Amino acid sequence: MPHNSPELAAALRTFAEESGELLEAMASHLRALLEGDEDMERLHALFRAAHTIKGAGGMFGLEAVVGFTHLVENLLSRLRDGHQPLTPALLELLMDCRDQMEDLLKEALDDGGAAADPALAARSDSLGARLQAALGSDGGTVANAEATTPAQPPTVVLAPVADEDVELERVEADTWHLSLRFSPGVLREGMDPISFLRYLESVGRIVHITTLVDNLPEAEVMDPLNCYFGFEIELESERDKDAIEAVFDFVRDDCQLRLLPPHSRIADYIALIQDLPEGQDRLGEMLVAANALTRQELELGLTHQRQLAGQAQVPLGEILIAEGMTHPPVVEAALDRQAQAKGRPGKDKGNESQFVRVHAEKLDELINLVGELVIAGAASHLLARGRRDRRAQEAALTVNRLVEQVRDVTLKLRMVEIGETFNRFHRVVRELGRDLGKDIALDITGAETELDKSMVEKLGDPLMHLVRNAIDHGLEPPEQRLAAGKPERGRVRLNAYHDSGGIVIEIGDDGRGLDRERILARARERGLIAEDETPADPELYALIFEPGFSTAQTVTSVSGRGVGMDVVKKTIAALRGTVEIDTVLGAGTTIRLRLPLTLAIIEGFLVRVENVPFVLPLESVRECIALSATSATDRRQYVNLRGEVLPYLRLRDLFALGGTPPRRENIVVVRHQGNRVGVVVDQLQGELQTVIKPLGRLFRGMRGLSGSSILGSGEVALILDVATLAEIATSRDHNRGGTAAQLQQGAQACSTQ
Amino acid sequence: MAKTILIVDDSASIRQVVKIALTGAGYEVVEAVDGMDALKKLDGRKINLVISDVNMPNLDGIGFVKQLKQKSGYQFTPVIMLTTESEADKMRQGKEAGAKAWVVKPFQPAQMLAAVSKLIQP
Amino acid sequence: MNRPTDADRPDAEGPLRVALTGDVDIYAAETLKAELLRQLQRAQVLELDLAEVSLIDTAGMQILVLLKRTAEREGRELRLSQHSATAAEAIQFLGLGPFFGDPLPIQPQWT
Repeated sequence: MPHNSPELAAALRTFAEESGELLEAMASHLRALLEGDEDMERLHALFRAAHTIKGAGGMFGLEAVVGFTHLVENLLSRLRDGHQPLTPALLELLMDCRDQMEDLLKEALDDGGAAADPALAARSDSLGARLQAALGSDGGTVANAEATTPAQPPTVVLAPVADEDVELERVEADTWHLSLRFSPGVLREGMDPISFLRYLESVGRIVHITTLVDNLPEAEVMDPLNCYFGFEIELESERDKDAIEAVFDFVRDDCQLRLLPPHSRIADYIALIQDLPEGQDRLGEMLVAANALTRQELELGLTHQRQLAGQAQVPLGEILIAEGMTHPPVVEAALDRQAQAKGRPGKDKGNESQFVRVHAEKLDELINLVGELVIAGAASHLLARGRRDRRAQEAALTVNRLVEQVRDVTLKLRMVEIGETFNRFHRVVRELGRDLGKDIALDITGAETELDKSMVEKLGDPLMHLVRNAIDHGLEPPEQRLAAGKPERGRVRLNAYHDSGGIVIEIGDDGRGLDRERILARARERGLIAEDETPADPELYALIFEPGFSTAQTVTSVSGRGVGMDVVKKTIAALRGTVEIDTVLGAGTTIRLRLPLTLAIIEGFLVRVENVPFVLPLESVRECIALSATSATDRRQYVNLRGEVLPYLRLRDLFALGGTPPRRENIVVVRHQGNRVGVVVDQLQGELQTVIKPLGRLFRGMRGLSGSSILGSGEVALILDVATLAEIATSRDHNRGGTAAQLQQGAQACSTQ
Repeated sequence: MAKTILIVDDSASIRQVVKIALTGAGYEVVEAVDGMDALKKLDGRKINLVISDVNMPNLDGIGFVKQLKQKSGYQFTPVIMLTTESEADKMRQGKEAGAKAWVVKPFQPAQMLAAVSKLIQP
Repeated sequence: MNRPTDADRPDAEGPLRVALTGDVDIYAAETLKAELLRQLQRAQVLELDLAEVSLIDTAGMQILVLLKRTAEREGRELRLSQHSATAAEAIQFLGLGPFFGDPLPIQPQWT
């Protein structure tokens, strides 16, 4: 690029530094992913890094860097959005691509692109081809299709193409005529029509602007924030229609632009006049005043129009077509738009009586406030109880009951049907089936089952993994199905229903089922279970969700390295859900996800250590037992529970709370995916229902915590993450919790938020 | 009085080049590294236009514009969002949040200047 | 901000003078509409001094047009005077000179 100013040279140096840092970051994220750290945030960071390198590189005209990085960015975008599972093969490819980006940047920045190294360019090509292959036919076209949508021209009506065969009078004016009407809300969007008119001067010379003030209402009803002005403009320009339309691309949704080229037919002007709301007399006069039409031309056009209209009540558009004045598609487009404009208000009205559209944010705000209300209600109840005032207690109880009702109703507001999510899979099934040469039917049941909107959003990725897995691994190829006496067409089933206060989602297939023996062999091979151990089915099948666990004999691009299934487990656990597997060899597999209906509220079990309150999700609590000083084998950290070994951990140690344990401690036995572990606490305080708040910044990255909550007493209680606790207790790794100081600071930060 | 443009992007070099182009055309430029920083930089000062990247850490462009459009004195401030061509979804979200003008990365400084000139003049 | 500042009123028959300052734009539009309509009710002739106007956008221009039309409807008169360069240029650019009918300072050609 030309570094013709010292400022630009300085900017280029900034870019060199910045891109170096970004490449470093990319390398470390890729390494972590390769090592099995499946943090989605890493993919986001990778995408952002590629995005910035491409964006900034483009500004400096570093074509080679931009072109190559563009492909990398595409792949990262698909991975990030879960459209494609992340496989080790892809990670290796991304590593190579990152190195290539580094080399390309080095070349571009060091010698100013003077002598491009042909070997480097060749490597770009071959890696590019691999990226394209990884993206697949699907990835490439989708990105392109999306890219074309935003490039629509503004709403342009009646812009007839000059047709030399038609002998019709044309106007003398050698200027373009632009007729602009804006939607009332355009000013509120920060778009000032005058600014666009001024920019119009960059594509030609404005000969005349007529500002139409007709639509400005009387003072009482005039809204100062609405746009009422319309504009008729004569523009002298050598540029084409697209260039003129492009001036208004930012307001394409908010303006109607009618564009007549120089020497348009009189009829087109007449059509334009009649199409506009101000009325033909007023506009006709105006066009004459602006020298767009001569008075003669106007008279001629209007007379012709009257004669035609006199014959029959034929719509103007049809007359124009019959007369060969304009091209059918143009008129159709215009009429279409009119029909839409007419149809829309009526349609909306029909819905309005039943639905109110509310911004999701407002609902979140409401739910948050209701959460506060629940807490405040509990506090007042506590206070009333403490005072032993019966009437106050009764009043507080009534308030609490109402608050709970309000909470339930409010949470329902955010409930959406899962059907929409399910329906997305029709396409996935069709496309994947085609790619893999499998004929597949998708059965959807329970589409009307409702769950929290935030939940639906988070379920997209795991469902995608599971459906892909069912298609790829579950269903046999057609020849195998036929050989096994099954119909050639495989079936994938999505089902949802409510069950004991939660939602159950099932992903089923009528494929080959899980092969117990092969999983067992694989698990032994990977050292996940001992040679002599024979776990029960649920425990064994749960292993398919372990990182890197796969029994697939051939690895396909769709799935097959166990990476995706691991993500599923993590995501569902993060949603406080569980995964179950039902499978019959040769007959199919059903994966059952059990999830709470909402993420906003938790049924919890309150415990205390050193008087710090902690909440355990009630659904994971199995029982509570006393831990006597003698029964604890402190070195080994497990107890004998009815003949079984129960590993346990002390929250006191995990969070370094210090102090001395009371004489009699308690163990809360929690269960997570077939594992039972004990959590040692000082006091048991019983069940509570509480509103979950996200963790404050200080807590993030602390192991064992999933959220916080405020108790009726105003204290901040920390919600424990059972999955992590189970992991820590069984792995004996106690050293990665937070510190007491951190915990205290964090609690303060939470309560002041 | 020169008009002020707030540029929000986590890339220092993009900010730098855009700033060069805009100051050259007679605008004042205020820089912010992400949405959070941008909200801080507003600080009650008159901003005639905002240019914001979409993908940023802390507070992304969409979240920032949503908050901007709630703030008195900024609710009518035009916003140009920077995006990549593959992000039709982000574009839809951005439009709902109130950003109607978009410039696709990578762009040349002249393209940015053209987009700005459609919305405000120095 | 650009709230109109009350100017003095030399004598009973003379026009009521109000000076606009700063940006006559969408942020000021609501205040300007209310305040200027109120001032208009006080006077037979309202004269807006545009000397200190630094910008007029579409919303601002709509307020001026509204005032002009309201004045005409009520048999009053609105005059724009002392146009700053930007104010005069904006009125000319939109072809609204004849609509307002006030003498405009001679502008350099805006092309």
